Order: sequence, then structure tokens, then C-alpha cells
Amino acid sequence: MIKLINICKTFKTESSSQQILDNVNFSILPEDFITIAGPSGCGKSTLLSIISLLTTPDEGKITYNGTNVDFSSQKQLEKLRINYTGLIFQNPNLISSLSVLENILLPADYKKYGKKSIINKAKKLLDEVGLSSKINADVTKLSGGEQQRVSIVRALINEPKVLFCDEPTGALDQKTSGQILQLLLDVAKKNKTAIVMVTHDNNIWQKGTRKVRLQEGNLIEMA
Amino acid sequence: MKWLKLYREYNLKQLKNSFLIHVCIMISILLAVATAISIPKVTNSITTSYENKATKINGGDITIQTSSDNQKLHDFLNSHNNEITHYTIGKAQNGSIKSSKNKTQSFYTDIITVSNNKSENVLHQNGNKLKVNEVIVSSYLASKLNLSKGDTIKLLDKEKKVVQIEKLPYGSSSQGKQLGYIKANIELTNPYAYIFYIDLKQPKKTDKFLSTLKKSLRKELSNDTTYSTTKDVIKENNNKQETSLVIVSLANTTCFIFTLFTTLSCAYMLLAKRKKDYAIMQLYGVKKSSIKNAFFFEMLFLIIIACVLGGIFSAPLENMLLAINGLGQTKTSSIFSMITVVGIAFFAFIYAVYIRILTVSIDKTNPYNVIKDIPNKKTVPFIRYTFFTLITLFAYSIYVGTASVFVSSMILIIALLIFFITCFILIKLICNLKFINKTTLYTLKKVSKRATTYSLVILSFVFMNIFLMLGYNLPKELSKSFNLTLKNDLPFNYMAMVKNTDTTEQNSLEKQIKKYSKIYIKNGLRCTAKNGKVNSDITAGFVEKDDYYYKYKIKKGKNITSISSNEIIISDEFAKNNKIKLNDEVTINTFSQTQYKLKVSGIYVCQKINPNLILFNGSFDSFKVKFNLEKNLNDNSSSQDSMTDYYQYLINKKSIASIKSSENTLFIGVNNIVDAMLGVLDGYVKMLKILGLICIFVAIIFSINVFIIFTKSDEKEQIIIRAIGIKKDFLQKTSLIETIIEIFLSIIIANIIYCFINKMLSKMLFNASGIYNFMNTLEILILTTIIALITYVIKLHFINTRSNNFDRLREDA
Repeated sequence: MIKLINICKTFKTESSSQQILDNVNFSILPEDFITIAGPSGCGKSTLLSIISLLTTPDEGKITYNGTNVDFSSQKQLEKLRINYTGLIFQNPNLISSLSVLENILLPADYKKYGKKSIINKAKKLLDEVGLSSKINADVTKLSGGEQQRVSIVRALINEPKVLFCDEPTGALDQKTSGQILQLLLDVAKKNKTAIVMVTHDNNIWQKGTRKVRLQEGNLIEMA
Repeated sequence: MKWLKLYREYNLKQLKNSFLIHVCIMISILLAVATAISIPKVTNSITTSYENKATKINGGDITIQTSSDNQKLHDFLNSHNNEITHYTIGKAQNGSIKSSKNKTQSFYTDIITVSNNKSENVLHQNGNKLKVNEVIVSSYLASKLNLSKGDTIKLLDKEKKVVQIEKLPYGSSSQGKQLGYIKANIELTNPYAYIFYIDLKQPKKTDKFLSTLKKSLRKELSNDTTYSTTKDVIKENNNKQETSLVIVSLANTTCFIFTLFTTLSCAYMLLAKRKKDYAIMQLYGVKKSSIKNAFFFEMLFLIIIACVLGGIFSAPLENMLLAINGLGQTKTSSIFSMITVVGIAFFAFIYAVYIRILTVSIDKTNPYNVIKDIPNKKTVPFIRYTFFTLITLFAYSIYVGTASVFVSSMILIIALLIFFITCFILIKLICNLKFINKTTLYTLKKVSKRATTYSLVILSFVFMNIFLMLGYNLPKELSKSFNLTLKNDLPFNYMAMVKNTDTTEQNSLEKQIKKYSKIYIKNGLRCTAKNGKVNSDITAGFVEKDDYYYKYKIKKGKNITSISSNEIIISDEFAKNNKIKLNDEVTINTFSQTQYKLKVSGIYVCQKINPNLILFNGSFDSFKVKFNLEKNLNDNSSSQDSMTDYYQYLINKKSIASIKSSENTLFIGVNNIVDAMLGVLDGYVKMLKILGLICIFVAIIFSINVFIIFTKSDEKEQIIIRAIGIKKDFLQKTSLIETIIEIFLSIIIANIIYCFINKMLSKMLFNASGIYNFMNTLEILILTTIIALITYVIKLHFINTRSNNFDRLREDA
């Protein structure tokens, strides 16, 4: 589905440069649950942002369903992001002036799915995550866990092929983290969505169907 | 001192990061202070000038203006030689003048001559007698016709050279002070006023002398006679300054309020930016008082610099405002003058107190909550700010020297509050509209959340537009409105005055214009009524039916052609001023002191033009003998009286350029009179123009300030939106919709308020309905659009360059 071929990324400062990714080759297959771990500052989030087309690699290429991604074409990047990917961050990053439903519908593709159908889908997903009673609530008044659930629904609204999660439970307590993770897995399974998750939590990392470690610029897949 | 250490080690290092905010604060304070200090300086300069030159402005210790040359007054003055140094007699006549530079533009003005008892011209210029081909022009007239010293003008069809431009109205008639005047060494044939300039041996006894004069000549002088002393000149100027101050303080208060908002919001923004730093400092033992004092000191430094610069910049602003009042050459107060120093100190103190009130928020913030991102309850000390603002405005009115400034400021604040609430409600209403479109929904929700701030931005544009429209459009529209009313009410648009003896000219004119009304005019009669309560000088107009094509509009009673020889028709203004009604009896007193009772059978509409003209049905000859309107033919004065008689032609033509006439025929256009009457507003309008221009800067600073406040949170939101897959043009469209809402609401509200003021002033000044043309305001409204678009372009730039900085997604919200 998604392939990374010889991806390199270097961070340069005034005095030095550090190679974060060194000829990384990787594939993401449908319905995968890939967890990526590694020491702090090793480049996990950078790798995720490259795969999710938010950052341009210095070298190498990425293909989505066999098509080469042209990082210079904003149009192609926007199209791929909306049709293929869903993003979930450590911070829910919701729009404070919009309600729960409005936040979810913001990236929704009405042309592709039809507005009524999308709204019904949003309501259904909210029900699945246990927030059907808060459909019109002010997002700033929700708890951290509730906000993260909204961001999950928002990420799933366009039926993405893959969900990219950058430490989605990082800001939550253990109990809520567990709930969120389970929710993510259930919903993704139901929608046949692959998950690529960056985490520093070993328990979560262990739960991946494919476990990957990023070390010294290289991606090592564990058995 | 610990706070000083903190200031050196932390606050000073923040200067680079917060440079733009600091500059915003300084510019805001500078603008407010420069405007506020210049106003009392200008008032003081004008008042001092008038006080120093009061006698010269008055023309003498006492000035008496009558509508005819009064022999009894001459006798009185001649008999009081022991008290009077000397007296001279001025004459004032209406006329049009043309500049040689622009031969098509004529201007209605007063022509003044001054002579002694022997009818010798006594007008001087720089110690030399004014020659026959020389004139002195008032500064108002010079600016209207773009005249400089040395230019030539055409006065009564003769070329004259401008040898002097008088900055202040020296010895002018009362009408000349408003309409402008020209002083010339010529013979005036149709004066409407005689002005007696009297210099006393003991000026301190002016009041006593005047009182004796009035008592002695109570019956001989009409109620229309005006008296003026140097004290009256000073008092009149003080009243005028008071009115100017009220108008100017409206703009000044607006400038102050908006720049205050900008200053405080920038300072709040600094605190918000540093809140985490301050929280960390507190958790490591730094006292709140040290943080407060270091921040206060940082702001105080800015305030002092800005106030001093404001004091410096008040000088050129003072120059501009003085020039408007005809005192451009007056030496402006130095930066070290008491008034400037006091002003700088006053405003530095005021802004320091505001900042001190603001630092209360440091006290109320819990550092632990800040570190843990637990929202703190937002507190803005509104009551303290409001209370202190009221004190500031009151103290400022003391600084300026008049309580009316405080009153007008209060009225403005109430108006600001009403308009703010209106803007707020309109924004909320617009934002509640149901839209299917996601872009519009997102935009409206965002605007609704920030309704308070958007309302203030719109309000700053509204006030900027209003002051500019009042300065640039109002005179034009008032003129049009009044002209339209005159067109409806008056049957003519030109008047031509021809000597009664000049039959050749009369015939020539009548051949050329074909349709006209011809009225024989006799000046110098007196009308009394209501047991002496009415005692007015009048002009008698005799008109024959065959010569009455353009007829005066009759308000009440009969038309002139329907009345008998014992009846008259009077103007509505004359009736109103003297409380005379239809069918009242009045007495006309002639030169031979005979009295004739006549009935008022009609009241016509005059629209303030020649209000004292009383009309008789029939020719002058038919009334001449009946009313003994001429004295004994052997009496020299009678030949002089008939010399002042003339025929007035009422004409309605598109242009009189094609009419060939002699140099003694005087043409006056009704629209010229209107423009001259609007001269009353000239000084105020010019001041509003300047203050409107200052408001442009205020509006720009304010909208940029608001943009800076929202940039950081907008940027994060834009990154989120891009990251979740929404295209860049969504954000571009959002910014465009916001800009359109700002422009639309500003334009609508500004136009509504301006239209209201226009109509109100039209009604008050001219009893006209007021004309408002949206197209006239377009140029000024384009300014709002330009400022809003500049902000839009900056937002676009930010969207294009920063909305894909996805690293920020990992930041705390």
C-alpha cells in the first residue's frame, strides 16, 4: 500500500548536522498495526511525518498504491492526505470555535460521500467512541480523553487507508490510555484501516502486529 | 533591587522578540499624546492672538454697525469730541469677485471701504494709503480663490492687485467675518451696512460711553444695530474656541480610546507571551512584586519615550491647526513650554497608571496552573479601567481649560458604547446565519468567538470614515442640499443689481435675458410695529405686475400682485425674527419722518436672502409721492439717497457668462451665497480633516495590533487544518470572508451615522432635508477597503509561508 524507498533525512544546525534517517526502506500493508519505538530524539516523529506526507525527505521516494509521491506538488499531497491518511497527535488539536460534530465534519469530503451520508457516519462513529450525547458540545469543555476520541473520529471520517498516530496516548493517564488504544484498534479493525503508531510506551509497542525500532537512522523490524 | 536585576537579565533580553509589540505601543501613545497636547496649545495661541489684537480686530474701541448712515449718530459722536480720539465710517456692500488665475470661479463676499468724515479713504497698508487699484483680502477669501500677495482679482469688473492678506478679520463687518471680505479704495453705491469705528481717549471707559450712546440714541437706532467692543471680540472668540474644542475633542477622545485599547492589548499580549516564563520564575522563588516592577519599568521606559516624542510631534500638528485658523505664522510653543511639559508629564502618569492596573493580572495568575496548563480564570479589571478613564478625561478637560471637553468626551464614549454594542449584535446576527458551506461556517464561528475584538476593529474604521466624510464630503453635500432647497423655494438663481438711473444698462440687460423680475430697491427705511418692540431697518422693493415674471413663493396670504397700495408682503425670516403675523399692522418710517401704517397681507419665502426686503405692489413712482419717499429736492442728502436706489433683477439662467453688462452691474449667484454661508463651518471642517487623517493611522495601528494578537493562535489552527487534509484555499477563502465582513459592516455603519449627521446639520443650519449620495463617500470608503486588504494580504502571506509548519503540531495547545 505505502512504500518507503531509501528515505534519508538530516537535521542541520548552525554548527553541525545529524542524520536522522539513513536509507530507510519500509512497507505498510493494509490492516497493519505497526508500532514504532526508539530512544528520545531518534526521529520517530520525523519518520511518521514523512510517511504521512507532512515533511519532505532529503532523499528517497515514497509510493502510495504504486504511485510516486511528488513532494513538490501541493495538490497531490493534499489529495493523498485527505483520501488516504488520517492523523492523530498527542494533542487532540481540535478547532476551539467549532463543536464536536463540526470538528469531525471539517475535513469530510462531501463530494465523495454526500453530506447526509457523512453526517450519519460521523454520528455512528461518535456512538462507537461513546460520545453521541456530546455531538454539539463545545470541544474546549471536554476532558482530554474525550477530546482525543473526537480527534480519532475526525481522522476516520473520510475512511482513510492508514491512520498515523504520534503518541496518541502520551498526554493521558494510564487508564484512559488503555481505553483510547482499545478504541482505536476496534474502530480501525472495523473500518479495515491500517495503523502506524509512534510510541515511547513499551506496553503499547508490544501490542503492534509489526513492531519496529528506530535506531541510529535505521528501522529495524522485530519479530 | 531584585526587580532591577530581573529587568536587566530578562526583560531587556525580550526586546528583540517583542520589538513589533513595543513599536506598536510607542506609536499608539505617541499619536494620542501629540493630538491631545496640540489642542490646548492651539487654543491658547488663538486666544492670546485675539486678546493681543482685539482692538485691531474690532476696528476700534467701539464698533457700531447700522443699515443706513445715521445723522443722529454722527451728531452724537461729533458732540463728544472730548471723549473720542477719532472715528471713521466703513461701508459694506455685497459683491462677487473673480480671481485672474481662474476666471470662471467667482466668490460672493463683502466689499468694505473705510473713510473719515470728509469721505476720504483711510485704508492703509504698511503705513501707505491704499491705492485705487489695490485691495486687501481676508485669508478665508484668499484660500477660497487661491490668492497670494501680488495676484490680481476682478472687483466690479476692474482689475485690482492684492497687496495684503489679513490673517484675522480686522475691522470687518459682521457678515464679512463669516463670508470673507475685501477692502478697497472705491466708491460703494449700494452699501447694506455702515460701520462706525470709534477710538476713545480713555478705552477703559468704553462700557460707560457705549451705555450713554445707546441711551441717547435709543429711538434713532434700529433694533438691527449691532455694537461691539474689544471685550465682545474676546468673548466671541472664546465662544468660538469653546465650540471648536467640543468638536475637536470628539476626534481626540476617539484617538485616545483606540490607542489606549491598542496599548493595553499589546501589553496584555506581552504578558500572555511571557506567562510561562513568569510561572517558572515564581516556582523558583522570584517574587510577584519583582516581576510586576520589572515589567512596569520596561513599559514605563517606552511610555516616557513615546510621551516625549508625542510632545515634540505636537508642534507640527499645532502649526497645521493654527494655519487653519489663519494664524499660520504664529510662533508655536516650544517643547519646553509649561503646557507641553505638563502635558507630557500628565500622559506619562496616565499611561503608567493604566499599565500598573494591568499588572494586577500577574498577581491573579497561579504559576502552578500555568505550568500544568490548567486554564486560569481570565480577569480584566474593567471597573478600574472605566473609573480611571473617566478621571483621565476629567483631568484632561482641566488641562485644556474647559469643562465642555469632558462633556463632549462623555457623549462620545456613550456613542462609542452604543455603536460598539450595535456592531457586536450585527456580528452575532451575521454569525448566526445558517450556512451549508464549511468555509463560511468556520469563518463565522471564528468571528463570533472574537466578536468583541472584531467589533472594535470595525468601530475604529467607522470613526475614521466618519471624521473623513465630515471633513471632505459634508460641505459639498450641505451645499448641494441647501442649493436644492433654494431651487425649490426661490424662483431665481441669479440677482443683478443695476443703478436706477442707468436706463441704457437696464434696456441692454432686459433685451438679453428676456425673462426676469424687476424690483425697484430703496434702502434706509425703518419699520416699526407692536408699540416699538419692532424697530428694524428695511429695504423696500417696488414691483409692477408686468415686470414680475419670477415670483416669490408665498408661504401665507396673498401674492404681491393681489395686494393694494396699503398692503405689503414681508419675508418669512423677517416675520419670524420680529414675531409679525399675517394681517398685522406695521408702520413704515420714511426719511421725512412721516409714518405710514400698512397691513401685512402676505409672507413670502426668502431662504435668508435679503430677509429685510418688504415688497410693494406697484412702481416706485406710484409710491414716491404717496409716501413722500424722497426729501425736498434741495436737500443734498436726497440726491445721495436716490443714488443708492437700484433695480434688482431676479434671473433664472444656467449661466450668466454670455450676458454683456457694464462694470457697474453687479451679478450675484445664489449658489455663491450658499458657499459663502457654509464658510461658517470652514474652520471646523478643516480641523476634522486633519483629525480624520490621524484616525487613519489609529485604524491601521489598531487593525495590525489585532492581527498580531490573533496570529499565533490562528497559525496553529491553520496548521491543524492543513494537516488534517484541508486545502490551503480553504484558509485563503476564510480570511477573505473575514475581510469582507469587516469592510461591509464598517461601510454600512459609517454611512448610516454620516447620513444621520448630514441630515441633522442640514435641518439645523438651513432647514433643508439633507442630500446624501453614497457615491460621494466611495473614495473615503475605498480607504477602509485598502487598509482591510493590506491586513488580508499579510494574512495570506502567513498562510502561504507558515501553515505547513507541521512541527508545531507537537507543541502544547
